[in-house]
Amino acid sequence: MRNVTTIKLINFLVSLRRLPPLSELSGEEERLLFELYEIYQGKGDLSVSDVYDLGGNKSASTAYRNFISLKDKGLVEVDVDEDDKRKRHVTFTKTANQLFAAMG
Amino acid sequence: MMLTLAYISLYELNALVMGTEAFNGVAAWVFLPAFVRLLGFLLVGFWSIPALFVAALVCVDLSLSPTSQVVVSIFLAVGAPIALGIASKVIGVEASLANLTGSRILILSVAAALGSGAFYHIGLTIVGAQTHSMASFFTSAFGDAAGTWAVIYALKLLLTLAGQAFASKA
Repeated sequence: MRNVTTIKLINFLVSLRRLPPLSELSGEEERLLFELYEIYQGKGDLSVSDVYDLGGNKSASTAYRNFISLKDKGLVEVDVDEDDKRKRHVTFTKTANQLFAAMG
Repeated sequence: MMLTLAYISLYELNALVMGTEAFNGVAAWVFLPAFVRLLGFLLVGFWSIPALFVAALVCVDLSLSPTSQVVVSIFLAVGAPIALGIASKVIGVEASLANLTGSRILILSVAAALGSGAFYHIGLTIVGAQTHSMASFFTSAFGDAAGTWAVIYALKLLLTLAGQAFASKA
């Protein structure tokens, strides 16, 4: 039971950390950034299609809009795959990696 | 035990900074301990009720008889958890809190404030306290919500500063 409570506490603190407006990112943008980071940690690779998948049927356009905002704010970069021009790889910038390091 | 101590600590801080019974002696415009009702339910569910009961027994100071004190404390202890139990089911909060967003926290904090305020005033009515009214109900609900969010943003600031300090050392 203690482990469950600890997980709940961590998730609660993470949700607090993602609240606006004490960062330049909105709550949705920050949430998207960390969700992309989790996917990257799991797969070792990230593409724009992962962004759409996070949004699902209802909010894929919202997820993409937030993703573009992250790109404009210098946290992610998009590169076209050399072998398959349809595929676009997403990489985190130095700023994003510093943010991930700060979060622990 | 930790929840009770946290509640009492925030109550004392609240009393030091702004008082705890500013409206007709029963409600405060900002009530920091309300955060513990939200946190307690999110972490341990309805098991937070005993902790909140003991905290209320210690903190409520309305010059009530011992029996009335117990009655009001019971109502204070169950109001927020009941409202949070309903609200968390309605908005689909996962048991692990993995899908807790800012908007969900907002809805839960409002539900806790209204539930706590309603049950508190029901308790006051049952014991025959004369100093409460609809105005004090809305004041206590507002105070609970304001106090909850004051503590939430204080915690957020601490987490942000801690993260920056960690990053600068790394």
